[in-house]
Amino acid sequence: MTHANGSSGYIPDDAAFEQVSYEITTSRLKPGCAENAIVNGFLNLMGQH
Amino acid sequence: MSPNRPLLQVLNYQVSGDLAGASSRYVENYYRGKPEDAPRGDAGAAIHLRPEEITENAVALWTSGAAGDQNPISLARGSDFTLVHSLGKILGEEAVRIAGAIYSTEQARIGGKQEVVTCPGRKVAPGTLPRKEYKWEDSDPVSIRLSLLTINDIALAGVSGEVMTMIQEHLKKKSTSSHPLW
Repeated sequence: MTHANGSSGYIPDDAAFEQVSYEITTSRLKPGCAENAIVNGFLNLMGQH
Repeated sequence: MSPNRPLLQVLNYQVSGDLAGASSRYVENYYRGKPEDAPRGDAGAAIHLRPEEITENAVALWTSGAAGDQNPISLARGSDFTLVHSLGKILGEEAVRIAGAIYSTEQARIGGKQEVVTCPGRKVAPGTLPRKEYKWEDSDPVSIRLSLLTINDIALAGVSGEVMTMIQEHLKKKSTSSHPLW
């Protein structure tokens, strides 16, 4: 589910940062962090369950 | 109300954020058989049930899946909602078909956790318009809130942003849950 509990803007996957699009140019994120941070963050939360 | 009748049905659909916000009422009102109350103005899907399928007092909780890189199916503007109704009917019938296979259980273990991850930020550097190329400069870090709700082996994952499809696929591949829902 997206748009949940906050507004962090567009969150591209690492490969998508190679594109020039509305979503990429308006994202507030630097490439190379969010994808793994999200995946590893959820794996960590699932591991605690 | 019968103990086996649903109080709420969660519908998670990867559709442009244009449908999010107030227009989610559009889905719920259709689900409850009150299309006349549905707000107008979005080119997204709406639930449209046949009269015999209407579930009084049930709520359709609409959530938007990872669709940051998906445009609305239709960008039409105006007052002709024929396509919207058609898409809604397709989605609604699929939701009803799936709902027919739902089973109930007398015991469920429910859990919830959340975590905030932070990533470096950037913004477009000032320049003349229209841009021939984009240059970037550092900006404030961006916090991303991750929310996890589990019901037995079902994991509902929530992110505080408009996530692109491949991040969802990445999580599904690595997920330890047999039923990850994003």
